Amino acid sequence: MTRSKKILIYKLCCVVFALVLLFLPQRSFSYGEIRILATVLGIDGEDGNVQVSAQLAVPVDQNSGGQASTVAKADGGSIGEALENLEIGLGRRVDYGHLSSVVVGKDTKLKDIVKFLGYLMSSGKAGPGTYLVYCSVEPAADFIEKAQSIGESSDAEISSFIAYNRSGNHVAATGILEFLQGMHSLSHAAMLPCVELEDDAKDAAETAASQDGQAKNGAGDEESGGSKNKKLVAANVMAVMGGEKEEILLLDTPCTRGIVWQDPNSAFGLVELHNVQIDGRDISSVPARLTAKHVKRKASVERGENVFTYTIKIKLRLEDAQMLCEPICGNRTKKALEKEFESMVSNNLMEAVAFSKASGIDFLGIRDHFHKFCTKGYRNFDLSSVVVRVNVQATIQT
Amino acid sequence: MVTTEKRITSAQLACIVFILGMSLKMLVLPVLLIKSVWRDAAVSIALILSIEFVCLIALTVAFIVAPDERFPVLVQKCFGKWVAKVLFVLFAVYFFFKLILLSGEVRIFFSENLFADFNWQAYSLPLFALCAVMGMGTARAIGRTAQFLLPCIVVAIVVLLALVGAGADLSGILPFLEHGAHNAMRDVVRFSMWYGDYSILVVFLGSVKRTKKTAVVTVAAGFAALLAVLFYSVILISAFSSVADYVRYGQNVMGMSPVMQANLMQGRFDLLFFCIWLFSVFVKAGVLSYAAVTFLCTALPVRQPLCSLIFAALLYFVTMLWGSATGLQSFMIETCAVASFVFQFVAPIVALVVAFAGRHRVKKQGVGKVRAKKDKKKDSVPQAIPNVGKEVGNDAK
Repeated sequence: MTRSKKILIYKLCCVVFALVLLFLPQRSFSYGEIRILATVLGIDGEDGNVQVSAQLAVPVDQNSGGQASTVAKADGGSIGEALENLEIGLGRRVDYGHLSSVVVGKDTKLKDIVKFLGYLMSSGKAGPGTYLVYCSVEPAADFIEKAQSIGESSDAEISSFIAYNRSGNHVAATGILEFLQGMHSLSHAAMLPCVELEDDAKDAAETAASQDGQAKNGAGDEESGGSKNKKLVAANVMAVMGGEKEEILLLDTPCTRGIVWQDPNSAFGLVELHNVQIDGRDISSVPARLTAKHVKRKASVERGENVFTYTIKIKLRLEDAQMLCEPICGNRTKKALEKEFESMVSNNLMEAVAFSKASGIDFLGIRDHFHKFCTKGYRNFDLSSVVVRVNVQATIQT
Repeated sequence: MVTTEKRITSAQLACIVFILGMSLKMLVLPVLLIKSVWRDAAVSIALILSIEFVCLIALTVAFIVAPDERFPVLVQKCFGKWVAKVLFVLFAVYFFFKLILLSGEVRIFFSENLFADFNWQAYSLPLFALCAVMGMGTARAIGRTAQFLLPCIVVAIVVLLALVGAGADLSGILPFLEHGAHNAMRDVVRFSMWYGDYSILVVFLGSVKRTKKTAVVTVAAGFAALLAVLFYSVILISAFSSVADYVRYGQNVMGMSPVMQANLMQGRFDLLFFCIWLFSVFVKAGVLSYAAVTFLCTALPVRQPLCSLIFAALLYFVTMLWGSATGLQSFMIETCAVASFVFQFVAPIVALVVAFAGRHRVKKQGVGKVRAKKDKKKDSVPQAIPNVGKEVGNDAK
């Protein structure tokens, strides 16, 4: 073949390629203009009667003045049917590619949650990294509707709120994959962070009451009535589930902190000591910024007993740096503070362990860890008889 | 002698080795293994990569030992014309089916990750057009393309692996072989169509400009590809080993970064790198096409451009026989597995045999040359010394 013929073939190929790229998308995606994006999905009910609610981002022209997001609800016998009904009701095809969070509503049964989430992940509607939250005080539909009323950008707000908490705050976050991993592991347990919408007005009133009853109108009061009296609050409560139990249990704040301490992904944020005595001084609060955390877990058998050891190393930077300003006393204070922090972490984690043993829900994944790393201990594993040790090493950076 | 213009450098060979080593195995294979043997998929993938690496070492030895004659010529001289023709057709058929599989994997990737309504019949046209064009090319063109694209591919894979590797918990692959090694071993054979990619390298035998570093860079490139595939596979297997029922076929390195980063604020800039990484899959398609067309042209009396066009058209129509890509995967597992498993060993063995036979022949001819010179001096009678290189060059043409 001559060079000119070869060039001709290359040119023809280029033309065909260009034509394919130019014209086929128009044919293939004729429904492009009637799509709508789901950003948050709420699930309530049980298998046989499922209610879904979705926060939807509507593509609108910036100058048109149309609403950029909306909430839609639908029912169905199964989650698949409910989602189909959602599309039928909207008259648009819902695109789940931007789905960032799934909210599970109050009173949803554990087996149904597993089934719904399994469907969402295997159908590709929710990616494995989609955040999962539990609404412990109200149905997911109500939560999403209220969140929508906060403002136009609330669809982004819920997801960025959770994402920020995951990376920049010392609270635990769970994705669909993590949840299903936990439920399908030998521990057969998982946890979900709880979210709720708090009334700013109520908050302000409580603050005012605590300040010797001085009447004070906060921003929430001034702007009360309408959409600005609510705010998303960080999850300081975790819901745990699994084991033999069908119901979902809520942990108290110290137990929740215990879970967060053993979560290597939550390595930043503010932690605080309350009511401590340092060098004979009573200090009501010592806030510190967590700058690094390293968590190591070890399963072993010692004298015939299963022993599970946490080794947690944390680095902290005091927010109130004046406590360490005096060079001689400073070092002593620093050591005392480090001990207090170590004691707090250890107590929080031991409380979570105690709750796990009492409830029979292995949400800390101790059984699974023995299965992976200590087969000998796994053979005669019993959660209630596992000896748990917590070694904490806190370093205050100066 | 093979003309210098048609030979590839050691660096180009290393680029091709790296691309062949990692492209197809990072698309769907880890997911298939997870669905089949759950966490033991890590053992299967380690075995698969070990087998491939051994084959690469064998082929590298062949590259070092072989005289400067192209593989078709070496085979013809070693086994005879008709045996060589049969071998070439077998090689071409093997590469043909590998290309069909590759197209199916690309189809799964696009339909599951990018477009819900993916029109495969239309979008496969550019892929097969690429195969046709690269099938018409030369070894040097393939080498240059690989060398040109490799820096981008390496940057993309490094970024992607950094994204998925940060904070990954690898304990999900433990404990190893809890229920025995049988299933993991069985899958090494069942999924043999997904690996054995270094067998394509036989087409470059005798077409490489060898230096002292040829062996080192080739093996190093293969090892780097091995590490990349192993690292990524272990992360994926670890993440999904307990939820294998839920993992989607399209779950791959692209879908892993948002899981591992778990931070929606970063956006999806990993998509950009993934698209760049996809070049490696397309280059591999081109190399497969080039190898198959070269062998067909040698075995059959057809000219390369025409052969390449027919080959690409055939690919298109045969691919369309499978309505679903998973049906295609079933066919590859049920029908082609054993043959493919055997053939991936046949390729390096044949390469080694012809390389050593060729070297032996050249040495003998070298001895013959010396003797002829001595005889020439002795008898002072001029004798024609056969120019081996020229003969081979003619044969190659």
